[in-house]
Amino acid sequence: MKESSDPLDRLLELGRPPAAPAWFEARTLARLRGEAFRPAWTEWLFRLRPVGLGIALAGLAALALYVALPGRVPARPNKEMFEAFDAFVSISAEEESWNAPSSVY
Amino acid sequence: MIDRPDEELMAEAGRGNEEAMATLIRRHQDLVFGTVYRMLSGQVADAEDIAQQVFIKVYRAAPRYRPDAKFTTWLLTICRNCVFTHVKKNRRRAMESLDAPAPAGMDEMEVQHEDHETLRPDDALLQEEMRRAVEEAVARLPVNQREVLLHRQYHQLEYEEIARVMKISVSSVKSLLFRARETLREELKRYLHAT
Repeated sequence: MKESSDPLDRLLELGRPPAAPAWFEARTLARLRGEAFRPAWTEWLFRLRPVGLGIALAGLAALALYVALPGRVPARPNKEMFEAFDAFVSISAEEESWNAPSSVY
Repeated sequence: MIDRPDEELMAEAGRGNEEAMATLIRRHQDLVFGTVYRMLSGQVADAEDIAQQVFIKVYRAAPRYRPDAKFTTWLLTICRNCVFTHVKKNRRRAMESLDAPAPAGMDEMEVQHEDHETLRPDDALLQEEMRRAVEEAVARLPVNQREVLLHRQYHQLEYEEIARVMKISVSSVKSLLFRARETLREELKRYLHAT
């Protein structure tokens, strides 16, 4: 800094920013070895995490829609369902005849 | 390696030369650390972490580096971006620090100040008081005024270079510097004639 005649400049010299701490260079190089010397593709993989999460969520939503879609449930009962219902009605009628009070008593 | 210009060292670092990167760190660590430290108003641990991030970014960008501007301009731009990214991430805590005076606990680091042992006790006390007053007054400045003052007063950058780093016009730089100095002159007036 040039010698200034302004007293403010001389005062500001007292507030000069501090030098880097001791071992800053060594610590930075150690961190560089740990972080920056990794292969570049691992960095991209790390950055693409949100995209992967988005794809997974979209897949889950699509699956949920596919399962819950109204068109997946048959709108009309099919033949087997009618047969099953008839069988159920006949069994019920039979049970009623068994449970009816006897005319003997 | 020591005498080689920054641009050559960057080219070497881009080819994975660790020694070139070490030389760049050694050469610019005080500039980067001091800038980050002042912009964050004296959070030592954060300042060191961010200053290290700056050099990591420099190393990663080295293969793509084109010396279009002065190396220090480019370096300080990265520095600035790292500080503002940190501020955004820790908005509440960092905004407090951007506006608050420097904490009194900065003695934990090895700050290179004038040797007080050569001064009489009264003078040493006054020097220490003035140093703290200056730091607190600078820390109270708005961050853009503080940044201009830092680059001009302590790093002796040209107005044009400061304008490129901060992405503002040269006249804005001069205006910010003028306002910063006027504020400091007012806040430190009782010490002005003690120097």
